[in-house]
Amino acid sequence: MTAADSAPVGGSSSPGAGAVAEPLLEVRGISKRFGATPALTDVSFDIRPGEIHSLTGENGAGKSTLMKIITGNYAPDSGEILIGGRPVSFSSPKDAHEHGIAIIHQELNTIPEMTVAENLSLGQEPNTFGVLNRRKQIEDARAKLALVGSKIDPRTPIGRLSVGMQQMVEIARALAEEAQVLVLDEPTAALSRSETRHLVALLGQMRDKGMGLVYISHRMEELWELSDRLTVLRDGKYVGTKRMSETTEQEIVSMMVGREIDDLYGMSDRAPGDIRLEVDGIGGHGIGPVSFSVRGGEVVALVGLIGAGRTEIVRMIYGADKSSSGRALLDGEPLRSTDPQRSIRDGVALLPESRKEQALFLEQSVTENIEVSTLGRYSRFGVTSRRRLRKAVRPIWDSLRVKASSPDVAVKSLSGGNQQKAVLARMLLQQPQLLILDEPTRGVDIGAKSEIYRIIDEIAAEGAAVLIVSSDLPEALGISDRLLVMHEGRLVAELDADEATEELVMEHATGTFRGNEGEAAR
Amino acid sequence: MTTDTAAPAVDKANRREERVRRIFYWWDRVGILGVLVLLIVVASFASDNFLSFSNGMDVLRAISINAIIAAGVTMVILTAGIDLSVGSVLAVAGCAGVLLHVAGMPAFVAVLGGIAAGALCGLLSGALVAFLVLPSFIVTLGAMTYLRGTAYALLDGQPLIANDLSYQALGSSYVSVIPTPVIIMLVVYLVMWFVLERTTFGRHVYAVGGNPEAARLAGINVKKTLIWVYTIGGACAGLGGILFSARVLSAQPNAGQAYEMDAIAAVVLGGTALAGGRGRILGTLIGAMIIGVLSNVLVLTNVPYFYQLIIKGAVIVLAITLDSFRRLGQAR
Repeated sequence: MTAADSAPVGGSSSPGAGAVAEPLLEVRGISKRFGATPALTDVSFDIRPGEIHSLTGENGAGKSTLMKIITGNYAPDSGEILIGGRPVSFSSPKDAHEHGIAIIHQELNTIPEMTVAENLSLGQEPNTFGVLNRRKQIEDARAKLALVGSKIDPRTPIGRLSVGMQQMVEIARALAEEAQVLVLDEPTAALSRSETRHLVALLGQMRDKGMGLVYISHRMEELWELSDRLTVLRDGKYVGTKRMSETTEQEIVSMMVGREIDDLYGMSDRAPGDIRLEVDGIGGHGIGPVSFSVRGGEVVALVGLIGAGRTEIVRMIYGADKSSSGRALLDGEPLRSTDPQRSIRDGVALLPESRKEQALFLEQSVTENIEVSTLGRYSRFGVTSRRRLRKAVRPIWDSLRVKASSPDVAVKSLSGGNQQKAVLARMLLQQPQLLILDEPTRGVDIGAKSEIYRIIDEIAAEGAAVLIVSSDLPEALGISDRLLVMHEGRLVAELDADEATEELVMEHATGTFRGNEGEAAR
Repeated sequence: MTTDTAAPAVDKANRREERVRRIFYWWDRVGILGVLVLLIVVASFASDNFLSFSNGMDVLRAISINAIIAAGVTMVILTAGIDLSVGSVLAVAGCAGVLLHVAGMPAFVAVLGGIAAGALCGLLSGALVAFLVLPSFIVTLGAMTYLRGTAYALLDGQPLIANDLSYQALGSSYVSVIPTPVIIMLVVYLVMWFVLERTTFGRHVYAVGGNPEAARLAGINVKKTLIWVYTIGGACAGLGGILFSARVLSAQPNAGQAYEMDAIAAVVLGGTALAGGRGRILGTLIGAMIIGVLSNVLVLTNVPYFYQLIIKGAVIVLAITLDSFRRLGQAR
């Protein structure tokens, strides 16, 4: 990897290249270990007024740790933090705050039951001898919201707002406190398209006012659109800093993964066989009815906007939720889709949408997480055979290349991508005939993504039917043979992956398709 | 680099952190067992009578009933539930056992009948928790009261003395030099350990407690697991009731009051998380021993009863504080 063209160099405060302002914030040679594990090794980073400096890298690269050091949550083991050229040390997030550093966390820091105004004045409620001045509280909130051009009623409980609007409230708070450096951790992860556009515009304004923005993301598109400079971390080490005008997407990706990834999706030529899954008018919860089929060896993607009903459909097929109409057949046999236990016995596996809430047992080991659905197959009279389980898990563990020192470490110590691999391993151990994957690569880094795609390809090649729900359109187009587009609970289009484009899919998904009217799904 | 100047201070901080980390490391490995050993050492200095074989057996016999109840409660707490009714279940089971004896049933029928009565009480609570999705705290709080009422109703509010109780050997006999209740306690723990560590059911218990939704989607029958867990919890309390009645040669409708607190204390001292999904059965046995040793040494050193309560409560809070520090140390 090339070293940074503008990496901060110890001892010298002028980076050399052109007339550049003094950094608002600079860290030099930061290292941090947790127990025996180094999380950061000799990392340097700086942020100047009027720039958006993105920080990227795979999950587990050390982005969050670095941010927690900058915002005073962790103390570094070595290295220094400089503000306006002067060394400082933070003993708490409050210290960092007082130095003008604010952070918008990925998981928002709001109290859902309290109103917007109450959230905005938390800890500094306007009062007279302890008696709350509500009118002032609301006026203050309006003034703060105006900073981000938001017209939300400050009396609304914040939990009723969309994630995007809550984020605006948090940004408003940071602006009102005159933060000089604002750190945004994956801010668009849960935003709709229009919310993302609004956020991007707002960030532009803040940059123009001379603030320094640290933008953490691994969405290539956004990094490209927003950043002035970009720093890549990998395995806790500093890889390099690039000016966006002087680099290419390929270069950034190879900096992130440490090797060239030529074809991310890398699907083999599979010949779909006979129809295996037949969904016949399944519906419920205001979704559907929906009919479609999936062949053996075929990967079908169910796409659409958030709330279009994709997750509901696959959960009904699996029996996680009850359907009020229709049925699903696997190899001609109706699935007794009343509960997941039966579905698993019938050869259906579901990778649920939300890893932490619906799939993982965080307190347990990786092995225990992998085995949990198939214990019965490796036990006699209810007594599990550890030896047989180990033998069954081993090849799957090896083929998934989970990055963990041993299968017995706690699953919570793994990065998101490796956790997802562990969940996928559970599905593979079930030897499913129908594999349903709901957002299989959400919050997963590029390296793990390509591994997951390879596994999907392999399992389809072995003749299973694969049904994927994905909000990542390039992914859906890249790995599927066929796309089913949903819009407001209905199936509106069926597209061949070779002919479909992102634009075409979006037209169907948003209900704005005007091409061949009437040519909807069967 | 500029880091050199800051090095000594950082080194010092590192050493301190390393030391703290090492303590946590050992605490993690030895944990509550270390507390028990420490307590035994202190106790043997505090009283000359403490460190003898017969006193040791006394301690074990004294804790046996609480430990057996706590084994069942451990399982319930592992599923993120709680069972407040175990004291009342103990009373009902004792009544059932003695009544069966009085009715002329052979000893094994009386014993199994008592255990079955306990299991039935647990089954009812389990069904309410599983099918009506009621909070276990409320269900078992109710059960605590209605089962106490049942125990009184069974005996018209009076203790039933049975000096010729057919199964009295369970409470007072010895197997060679070891009291029978201690043997029973050890067997219960052996079985519980096997069930939790080596059977699919045991693994399901941890899964249901760790993440019920993930457990359901992973194909585990969550309701069935919960019902079994409360039933086993009831059976353990029922066995406790049989041992209690065998010890006092009578059925006491007011037996076992506040026993749930000692049982929960043993479980939590043993490192089982009230949030469910994390804990070990052997920890509970050690937790019960800590409570037993503490009570024993306070009696041996003639500490007045009121102060015994204060010290016992304080030790429990202290041990749990240490445990929460341990988890903070683990957290990143």
